[in-house]
Amino acid sequence: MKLHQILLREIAHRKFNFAMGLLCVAVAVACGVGAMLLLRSFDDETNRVLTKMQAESQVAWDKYKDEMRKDMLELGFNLMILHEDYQLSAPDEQAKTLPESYATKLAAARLSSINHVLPFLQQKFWWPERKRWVTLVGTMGEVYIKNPRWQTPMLQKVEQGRATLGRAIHESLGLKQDDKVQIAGREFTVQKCLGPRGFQEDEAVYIPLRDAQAMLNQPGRITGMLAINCTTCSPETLLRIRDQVRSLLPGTRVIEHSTTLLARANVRSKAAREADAALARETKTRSDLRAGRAAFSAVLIGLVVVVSAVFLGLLTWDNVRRRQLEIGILRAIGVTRRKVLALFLGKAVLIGLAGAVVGYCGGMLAAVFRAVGGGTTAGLLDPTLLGGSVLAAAALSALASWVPAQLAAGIDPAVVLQREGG
Amino acid sequence: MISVSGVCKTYHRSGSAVEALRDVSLEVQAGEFVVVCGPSGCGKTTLLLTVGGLLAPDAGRVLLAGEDPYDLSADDRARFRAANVGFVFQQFYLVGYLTVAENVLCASLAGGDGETTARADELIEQFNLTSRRGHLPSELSTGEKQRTALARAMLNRPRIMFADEPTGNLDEDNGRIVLEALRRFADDGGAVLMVTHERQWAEYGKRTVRLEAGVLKGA
Repeated sequence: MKLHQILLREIAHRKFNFAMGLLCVAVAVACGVGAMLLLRSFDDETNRVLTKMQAESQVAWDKYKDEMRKDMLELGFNLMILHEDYQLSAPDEQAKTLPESYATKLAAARLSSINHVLPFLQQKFWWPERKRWVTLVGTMGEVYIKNPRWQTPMLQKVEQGRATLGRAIHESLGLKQDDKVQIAGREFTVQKCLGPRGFQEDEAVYIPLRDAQAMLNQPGRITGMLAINCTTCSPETLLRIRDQVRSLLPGTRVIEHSTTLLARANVRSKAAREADAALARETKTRSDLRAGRAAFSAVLIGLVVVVSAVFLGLLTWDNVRRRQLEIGILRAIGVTRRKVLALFLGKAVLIGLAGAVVGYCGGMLAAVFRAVGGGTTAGLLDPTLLGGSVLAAAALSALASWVPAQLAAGIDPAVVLQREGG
Repeated sequence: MISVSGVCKTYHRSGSAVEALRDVSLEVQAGEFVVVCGPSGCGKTTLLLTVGGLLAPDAGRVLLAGEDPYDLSADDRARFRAANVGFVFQQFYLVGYLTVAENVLCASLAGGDGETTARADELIEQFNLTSRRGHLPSELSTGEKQRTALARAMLNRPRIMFADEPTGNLDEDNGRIVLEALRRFADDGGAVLMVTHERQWAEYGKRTVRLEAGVLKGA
């Protein structure tokens, strides 16, 4: 006869004891598995909700980007970069300038939002040969950034030895294209006579930057630069552009030429930002809720496991007490302590295994009821969780029965036989 | 086969000492059936348990088949008992949830070999329990219970048999059957030590000794 045969016969004989033990384990496992499956169901639900909200947020941002793209096509977006202490009202000779290297630095930075960099030096200038004040503007055209196709001069580019004249200048002085003019002793050929553009530009004389720097005694300096045609940048980048430029070029001030666009960007991004905020709020709420549930589950599971283990230990102890004579006689006829121990621990392991399976089904039922209320039943039969539950339950059951099993193994047959024999 | 020399055993209960065995010495050879007679409370069961390797004496020595079981560890002593010793008790001590066949076979938990099933069948037949082999102890008569216990004791082919009042709960016919079986065991070369307070069964033994107040007389 084998140990497992007597084990199974005893279980069949004392069904209530086995059933109660199984119930103990099943309750503990059901609590654990149920809590885990419910938490998993909650996580799935969280993922669904957050994914939906993320999609809504994405839609809002896409809509915003599209609207901003349209706005930018209509409005463009230009920046004027000046010295941070530059004052439009100050006399030109006191105006603060920037190093010319800033233009190349900005171009080399290749900010995605800036496509054209146009440095210039500009100052009120007394034209001695013509005895009048003009706005002398030194330009060098555009600093190359990336796309040669877009290198259309955004500011008057003037060839070496040439000058472009504003309308008020060429009309008042009767100058026309290809005329020779002397400016502070330097000879220039009129490259172009501009049409009406506006008050300041109509009073301007455009010459190459190097000539202007020499004539104004500002070698290597520029008044500022235009960053032009920022139409391909994203709206988010657009909102950050001032900070980017200021960070790249210390001591500068950045003035938007089209603030309407920024205002629109702010307004139009509101819906998207609100969607993001709602998403963040929901994420935090769900995270807090999950942490609370996890903590509650941990306490509940711990409590149930301890109570079940104690109850299972008591059941095993009761089983040992009722089987003292049987153990005594088995020990008397030569069954070793180890086999007696195996007899009780084997039963505990069987209770653990069966209880785990029943408990897992119970936990699944809880999750299924939860699913009826809006959860999901996906992944309920998780082989890893089932295997883990079975192993943990068997180990826990054996552990809970360890002390009574040791007591059984330690039963002295002589004491039992003497007592029973009267 | 059984050698007991100078064995003493004292119980200490409630502050008082009770000398159950006093300098007991006894020899039982192979093929010998020794009956120890004595009144209730004279120490018969203590003697049987002590000699049977279940209750260590306070003094003296016990040799079974040439080996002192108390020199062995608890588990080794159990294995030694399983291989060499059989017990029969007055209350049978069958396992209530096992059938007759299973009760006989449960001795193989302790030892036994591949022939245990055949050996159990043989014993069941020998003790006229074939028709009862699937019955639980609660469905058996007292005689059948004792025969089942006897079959269990003999399953592992022990060389020594200890019987504690084996006829105490039996009628005369069944008592005779049990004692005949024990005598056959001795005749086949085994050593039997039986304790009883019923003098009428002493005739089955080759030798009878008396135990009075823990002292063995006529050994």
